[in-house]
Amino acid sequence: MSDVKTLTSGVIALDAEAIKAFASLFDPQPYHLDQQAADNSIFGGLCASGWQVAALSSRLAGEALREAGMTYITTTHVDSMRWLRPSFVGDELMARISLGEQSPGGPVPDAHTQDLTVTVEDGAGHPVAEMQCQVAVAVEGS
Amino acid sequence: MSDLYLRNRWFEDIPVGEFHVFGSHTFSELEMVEFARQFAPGPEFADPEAARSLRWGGLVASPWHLCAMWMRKMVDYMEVYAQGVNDGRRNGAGVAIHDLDWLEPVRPGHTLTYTYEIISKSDKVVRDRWGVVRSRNEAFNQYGNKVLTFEIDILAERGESA
Repeated sequence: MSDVKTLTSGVIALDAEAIKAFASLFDPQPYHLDQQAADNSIFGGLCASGWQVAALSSRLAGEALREAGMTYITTTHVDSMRWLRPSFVGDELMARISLGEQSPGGPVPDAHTQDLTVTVEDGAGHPVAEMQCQVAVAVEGS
Repeated sequence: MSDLYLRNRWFEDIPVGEFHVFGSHTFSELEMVEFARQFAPGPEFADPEAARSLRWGGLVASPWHLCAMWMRKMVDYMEVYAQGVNDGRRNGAGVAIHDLDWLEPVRPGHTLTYTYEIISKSDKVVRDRWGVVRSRNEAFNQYGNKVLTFEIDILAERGESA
């Protein structure tokens, strides 16, 4: 486990209901709420709020770390996150995760800090977002 | 004067140093749990009972929830300023965020107040018509403690004189 350097997450498919539900609470702009308005927008189709993609990036990365035997707790810091293209209805989001340095301690009690690079793809091989971040991973037995 | 409307301004009209306190929100336990079930299903964020005996001694808001609410408050604020404007939307998409930190746990009943300051404008021209505006965004809890900070680059349409 300790020499694992890259991980691949599971898949979360974006559907119109989830995109609209998130947008109505957090990002009520026409291209996230209404198919017709979205078709005529600069994005050219109904697409997810960038913050929905960001939150899903952390979820996918966290699940992949847990699959690999590391007890992911939360994302604690983001050096940068770039939205590279819109995430449309039907995209099957998955993340490729590169593990960087691990350092003791951090802002979360009883946890180490793990550096990650997370690239989220749309299911057709296109990267939609890239995040450099730090996450908290539980110290064994805590 | 249409340039009073934040959403309706050209890139050139947005002044570096502009500062706004643009919204507040009180986070309920229910909405924290609902967000976490979708995006941060760990018990610290999604299970109020279990969270009591875990590392923060009670439920805390999942980090992206605080950012999602930033977006909602920003959209609402822009809409208020844009009232009566016949779709003069000149703000484009966010393209990147930088140096995002969650500094203190946010618990049920906590009220966050969000601020932004325009800190720089890039000379870069994106797809012939967009400029890039960078702002520093922060949220403070009801004790005045900073709990969230990040910078974001957002596209703004350049005027015809550009």
